[in-house]
Amino acid sequence: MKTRPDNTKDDVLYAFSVETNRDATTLEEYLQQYPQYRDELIDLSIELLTMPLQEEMPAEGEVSDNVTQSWKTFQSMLSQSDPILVAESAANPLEALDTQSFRSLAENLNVNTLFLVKLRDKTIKLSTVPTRFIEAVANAIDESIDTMRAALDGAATVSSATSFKADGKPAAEQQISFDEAIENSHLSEQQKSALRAMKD
Amino acid sequence: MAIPLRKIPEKANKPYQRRLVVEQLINDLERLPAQELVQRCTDHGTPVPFEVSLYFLRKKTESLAPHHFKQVFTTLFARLDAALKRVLPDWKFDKAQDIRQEVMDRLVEMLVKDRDGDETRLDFYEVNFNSCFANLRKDVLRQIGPARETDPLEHASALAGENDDTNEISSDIENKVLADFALGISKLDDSSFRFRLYAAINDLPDDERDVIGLLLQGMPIEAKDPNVCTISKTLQCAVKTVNNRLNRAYTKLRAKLPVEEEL
Repeated sequence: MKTRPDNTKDDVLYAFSVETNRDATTLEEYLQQYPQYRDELIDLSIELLTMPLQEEMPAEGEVSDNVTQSWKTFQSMLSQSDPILVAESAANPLEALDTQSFRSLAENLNVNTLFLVKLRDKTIKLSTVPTRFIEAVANAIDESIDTMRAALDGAATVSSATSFKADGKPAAEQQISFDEAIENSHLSEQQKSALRAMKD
Repeated sequence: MAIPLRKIPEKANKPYQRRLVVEQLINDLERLPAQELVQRCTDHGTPVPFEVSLYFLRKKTESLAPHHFKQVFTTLFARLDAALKRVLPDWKFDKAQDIRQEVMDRLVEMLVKDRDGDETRLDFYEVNFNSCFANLRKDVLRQIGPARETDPLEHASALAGENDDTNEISSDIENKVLADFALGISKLDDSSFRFRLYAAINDLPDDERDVIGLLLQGMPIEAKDPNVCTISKTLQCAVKTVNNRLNRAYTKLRAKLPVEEEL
């Protein structure tokens, strides 16, 4: 049988790894085609036969140093144009607004500043926010919907735009739904109705 | 719909396919809001197949938001770290943590290159993650080993007998070994037995592990037909050497496995 020296070792070994119904015949075919990888193929065939099943392997309780290191390595190697880094670097446009602009925006959106603060600080779970409302916010501050989504998604934060008078360290709040935010933000009945009408 | 794989097998004209269950789960998860998708991918109680997590880490269009990405990434790598600790435990390998880190770093590098668009090897991982990860692990061990840790005394014994081809193994013993293995193979359906047997095989010296491993894959030791691939030809050694190794391996496996589960 003709050998195929042009295939890289990695390709050959990975192709062997994903063969279905691997047996002695499969191994024989690969050994004939790629005699240059004989030792690796034999070793791999036995490894695949005897390896423990890891399909259901859960993670351990705490994230190990190795995992933390893997994430750091990933971040450091990632291309600057990768959407993950681009989105990560996007600042929250609502945090950039000064007090007056923030109030104007709230007025424009027919909500109060308390409701808008909850949105800005991601206290409201993004998945519960109607698309029409996100669109309205994005249009009002001349941002794209994707940028707004990226900025408002994630765990609740303590905004750097907020000034605190208490002595204790401010803590991020638990996330609440859009409906809960409507009920708990001292909005007028008219504002509540308008927001509810935006629901998808 | 799940994005199709691009890698094409050598003897085919269609790209590799994911397992049906993986493809279906990806399709189901893609319909969920991002938050729920991430919850499923990070659920420790009912972990999703590795292939599914990898799919969402590779996906660049409509990519996960950064904090969601990190959650899925961290969960996947924490699971892989736990899996690696089982097969590369600290007590068995020198610098086990470094070896485990190297395995994970190689995967990270593939993921980065994949997201850069000049890598398709991760397609293999979406077809069968476990097997590909085992291949990666073996490759790292080959390069920065020690590949195996064997009991020095056992190893010395194996080496001492290696060139013992002049010692005839009686056909009675050979037949008994084969008969006993045939019995053992029939018990491979018992997953508990299989796990312990394979763990014991992995602890054998390489030469003995090779003959047992090939035998269990269904390869004959020898054959009258010169066209048949045999263990002897594959390992490029005499039939007697194969039988010697088999006999030594058999003795060790018998000693390690409980009496009531004799091979």
